[in-house]
Amino acid sequence: MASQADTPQIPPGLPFAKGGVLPCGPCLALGVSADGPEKTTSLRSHADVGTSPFAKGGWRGIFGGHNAKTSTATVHIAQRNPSVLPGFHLALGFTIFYLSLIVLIPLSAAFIKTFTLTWEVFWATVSAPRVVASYGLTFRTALLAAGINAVFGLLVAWVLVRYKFPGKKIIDALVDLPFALPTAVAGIALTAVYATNGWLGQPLSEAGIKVAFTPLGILVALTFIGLPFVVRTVQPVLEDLEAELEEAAHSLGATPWQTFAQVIFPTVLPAVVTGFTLAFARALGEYGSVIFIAGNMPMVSEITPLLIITKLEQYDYAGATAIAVVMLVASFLLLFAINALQWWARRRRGLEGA
Amino acid sequence: MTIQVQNVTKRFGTFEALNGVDLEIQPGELVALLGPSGSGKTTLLRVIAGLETPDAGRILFNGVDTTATRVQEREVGFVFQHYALFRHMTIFDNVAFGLTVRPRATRPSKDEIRLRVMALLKLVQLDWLANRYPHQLSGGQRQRIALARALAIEPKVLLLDEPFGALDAKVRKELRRWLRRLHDEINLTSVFVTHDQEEALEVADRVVVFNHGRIEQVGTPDEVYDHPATPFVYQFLGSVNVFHGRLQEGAPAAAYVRPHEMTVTRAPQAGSIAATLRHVQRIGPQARLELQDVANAGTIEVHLARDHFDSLDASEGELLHVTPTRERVFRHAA
Repeated sequence: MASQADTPQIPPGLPFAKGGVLPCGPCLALGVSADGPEKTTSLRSHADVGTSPFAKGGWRGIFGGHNAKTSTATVHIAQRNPSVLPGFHLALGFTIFYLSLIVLIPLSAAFIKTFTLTWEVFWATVSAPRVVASYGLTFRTALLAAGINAVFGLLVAWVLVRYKFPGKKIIDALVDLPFALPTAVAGIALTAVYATNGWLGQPLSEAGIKVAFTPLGILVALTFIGLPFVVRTVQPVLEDLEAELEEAAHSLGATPWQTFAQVIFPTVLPAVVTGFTLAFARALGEYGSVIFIAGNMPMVSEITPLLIITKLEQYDYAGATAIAVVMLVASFLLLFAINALQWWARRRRGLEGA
Repeated sequence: MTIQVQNVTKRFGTFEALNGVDLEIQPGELVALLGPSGSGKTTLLRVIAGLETPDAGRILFNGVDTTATRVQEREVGFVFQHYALFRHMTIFDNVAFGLTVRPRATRPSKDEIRLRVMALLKLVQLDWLANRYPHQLSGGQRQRIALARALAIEPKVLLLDEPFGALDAKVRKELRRWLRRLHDEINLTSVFVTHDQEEALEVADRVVVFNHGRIEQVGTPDEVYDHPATPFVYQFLGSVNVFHGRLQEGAPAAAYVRPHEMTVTRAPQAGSIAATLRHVQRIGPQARLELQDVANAGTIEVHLARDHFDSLDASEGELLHVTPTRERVFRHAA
């Protein structure tokens, strides 16, 4: 199925002969020896045989290097034997076993526990106004934080890839810090900074902006912990971006901004979306850093993970798992939708299977 | 358009890519810049395009200094070795790119862009691929699309950087003939870079041979092949046997003889060299002989017509005599 893309296609009605690929024509025709044309010998008996000054050049590199494509043959082999990699069954079996052990079994426990509730109790639990308010807050702030990270993560990645400046290595290392820091530490530090008597909180509150103990504070915490995802997914894609693409755009008359918007950005967009998805998923489940800065006021700044913990503390295990199940299903549907969107975009562009 | 390159020098760190290069390209010419890797040919092409700024020297388009003109305003069509097509755009959008990014005042209407792009796709004989994406095309097709894209902006000059370097041998051969025909059709001043001497000799009106950031020789394909100006050109354009010796006054020199400019006999001739036949390779109508010089054990390569060799009736290990029919002697640089 991949043969169409791999095999050079010769369009009908063109001055191209049909058929396969010949061995290196130019070499045969011009009489260039593949071993390099340097032949040294003596013309007269008294001649001194010196090393020729022309022996140094990279002849081999110049005359070699024609690679004929043999993709048709490969395709036939691939059809007979679907995978050349050994151990497919073993690897797949292990993957499923491992995922079950690590992900599916613990998660199914949540579902099983939830089933101990009657439908009425379940519905009452998950649709209580306080719980519904927390869903909205959690998904809204997580989406917004992931969005902020997508924009500024791209900027940070761009700066780290494109420019050379002193301290670049340190900044590069700083990006990973939100990964390493215990989330409670992050939460306490952010709260201290953004509280009305903190370094940033004081001038902000004088300007009428309250950050700590409001949904805005939650947004700050979620943005903090999600930053590395976008940077680290976009960075390698930017690094691999061929300079030729930009040069081509410039030579065609595009301004730097047009080049960025129409050539570079579409190329890195899939990586940005992946980073966005990861940051979003992380923000949905975030607990440690949020509870300190959120203030946890019911209906205002209470996130769903906190409600689950609250229920647990009241020994309402089934109630906790019921909310967890709703979160789980909603998150799964959202993440699945984002992935499906990306898959669809790739399909539309015909990149699938290429 | 006339392109004048005046005394252009370009360094990358300590590496001297171009060292005082002068060159004049006539309107409508197809010129090949030929040389080994790192000889400066691609750098010169990029300097002409405005993708590199020279450290010294000037570039003139039709007598006007364009050295400081940005690549966006130079109106050059540039074709890259690895095509550099925008892979998220259809073939149509790729070709239309140079027109759609123009400021509103100079941008043609949508219908006009469509007409021009389709005309270009017809010119490169790929109009049936307009709605595909680059990765769905073969290498040869991609390069023709890259060419159409470069031509869309109606450039004053077409610059091609190893345009066929990434293609396999057969496609490359077909494509370069096609390029030659296309050039004769549109008659646009064109410069292409190659390290393949056959490509340069076959396609170009004039060949510029580069070595170590300098021009070794400029001439028609026949001139550079039949009358190489320097030992380097001799060696670079086809294979050659080098015989070291001394001139009558005693100065060290080397004689350069192409493998097909020698005869082989069973009996010694005047000025012939005794050599043992080591190996014979028959390739189509040609016999390639590898002989070992009896005097100093050096290797001599001789290409004979197949029937000529068969009439010699020689087998490997026999002693034969080799006589150059045409040679060129260069004194060793002092």
